[in-house]
Amino acid sequence: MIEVLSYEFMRNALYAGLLASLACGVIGTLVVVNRIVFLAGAVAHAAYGGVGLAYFMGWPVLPCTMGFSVAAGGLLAGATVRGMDRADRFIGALWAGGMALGILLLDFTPGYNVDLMSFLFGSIMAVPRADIWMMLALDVVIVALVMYFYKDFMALSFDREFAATRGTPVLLLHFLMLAMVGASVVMIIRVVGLILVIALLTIPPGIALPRARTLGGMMALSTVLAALFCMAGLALSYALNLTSGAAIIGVAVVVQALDAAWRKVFHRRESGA
Amino acid sequence: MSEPVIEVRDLDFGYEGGPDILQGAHLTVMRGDYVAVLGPNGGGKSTLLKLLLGLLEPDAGTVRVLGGPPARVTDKLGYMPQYSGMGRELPARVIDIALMGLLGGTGKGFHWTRDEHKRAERALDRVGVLHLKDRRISGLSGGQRQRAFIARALVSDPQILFLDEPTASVDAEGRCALLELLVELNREMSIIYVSHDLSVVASGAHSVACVNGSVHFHPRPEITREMLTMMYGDKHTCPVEVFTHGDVPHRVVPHHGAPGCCPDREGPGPESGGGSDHD
Repeated sequence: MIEVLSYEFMRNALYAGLLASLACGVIGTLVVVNRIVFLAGAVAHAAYGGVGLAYFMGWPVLPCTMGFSVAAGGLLAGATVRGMDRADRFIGALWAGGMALGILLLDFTPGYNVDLMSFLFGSIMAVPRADIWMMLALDVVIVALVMYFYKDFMALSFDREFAATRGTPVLLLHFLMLAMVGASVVMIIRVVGLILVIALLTIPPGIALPRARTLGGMMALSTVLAALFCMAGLALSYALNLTSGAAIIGVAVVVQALDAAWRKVFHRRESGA
Repeated sequence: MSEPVIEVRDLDFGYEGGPDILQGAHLTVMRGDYVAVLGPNGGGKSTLLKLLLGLLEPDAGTVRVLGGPPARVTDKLGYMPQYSGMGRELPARVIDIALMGLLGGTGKGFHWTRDEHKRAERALDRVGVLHLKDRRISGLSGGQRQRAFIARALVSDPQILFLDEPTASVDAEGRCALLELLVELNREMSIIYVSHDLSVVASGAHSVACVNGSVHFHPRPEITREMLTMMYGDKHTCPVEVFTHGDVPHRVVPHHGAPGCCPDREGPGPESGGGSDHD
């Protein structure tokens, strides 16, 4: 299996998977504990608008999609400032609207036949070196921000109202969190595609949640799990000639199911988890 | 009771696009007081509390806490919000919850100083849950969890302690113990206790503020027929669950055949989750 890594594209795939796993672990944890999975899904699908825009304007795809998706995250943050309840319909509209915009823009792009499948299901085997560097830079920024605001994110995730009375910049952190979701989602789209983003963003933190006693521990464990899923999925994909994104998610789902069954049988479920 | 710690004058407030929740509200609370803020759901209790904490801005009138606008003195206020089940998903230890009360005065990053840890442990010890400090908050009982939340409010050594429905989802025994703890804390700080559970009046409060659109302050811990009428309307003047300390809880019910006795309130006190005032 090791000789696989002599291929440049395989090495890049591995790097991309590991870097995306870090974003999954850190941001996925925030998504899960703040219960904004649906928002992350909307950002992921709206990001396709950025793909369309990039091809239509002839701009570089990753930075353009990233900008578009961070902007979508910002819009969603604005819509949900007063709580999730009222933003439901807006989230749905952005979800579908962003995607439709992307497809229409691609229709308008003359003579360009984009492989839609690679965006829907990922193209981890075709990640160029430049994208790897960009993903690394993003990871560094995300981890640095989350570490800096760690206590504040913890308070925000637990009880926004109390956090506000202690002077935590709740509004700023809300926007920051969704912007980081936007950036991470684009990174993860590279690996598993936009349809499967939600799975990689939520399954590792979901498995980590009942086992972690702190937010940081949950992030670390989620990152390790996501990385294991990526590597196992990649190996399967190579060995059996499967679609890589689907193979990664397949591994994740199977592990989650085994984990759920294990905890059911052994009654190891912690209360409240 | 020398100086006022809370002064509310001519306060109007309504949520955006809605009717006024509070109109022309006045309230003065002296240092060392223990005020039970009572009223029906939707009457504006929690809203008043949020105005006192600076979480909401009044439409008209003034709110002064410890001599200034509330937003400027938040470090001297302890707040225990109503438990909404929010944050249930967060993996956090009891000590982490207590430490959150120090936010605002602490540095950035992961690290809490040794001194901050000591303060959090002292607060947990004070409310009697220090032995649970490394347990996950989601694994605690209702009463233990509420104690941890009081510790979070206490850790910054506040001058005024605000509690919003602290005994919701706590069993009767836990409720008594919690009320005893508050009496003890009241020796060092003023307490504002928001509830629709009247038992607090009989177990510690010095005064009562009835909130239903306006605020009526009564300097004695008693419940009058007028209060009940104001709070619950004249058709429902039997909603009282008054506990006094002793072997048997006393319960006052209306005369046989009195109209409007609420048949749905059988249990010992209001159900949890019933206190959502406006959300």
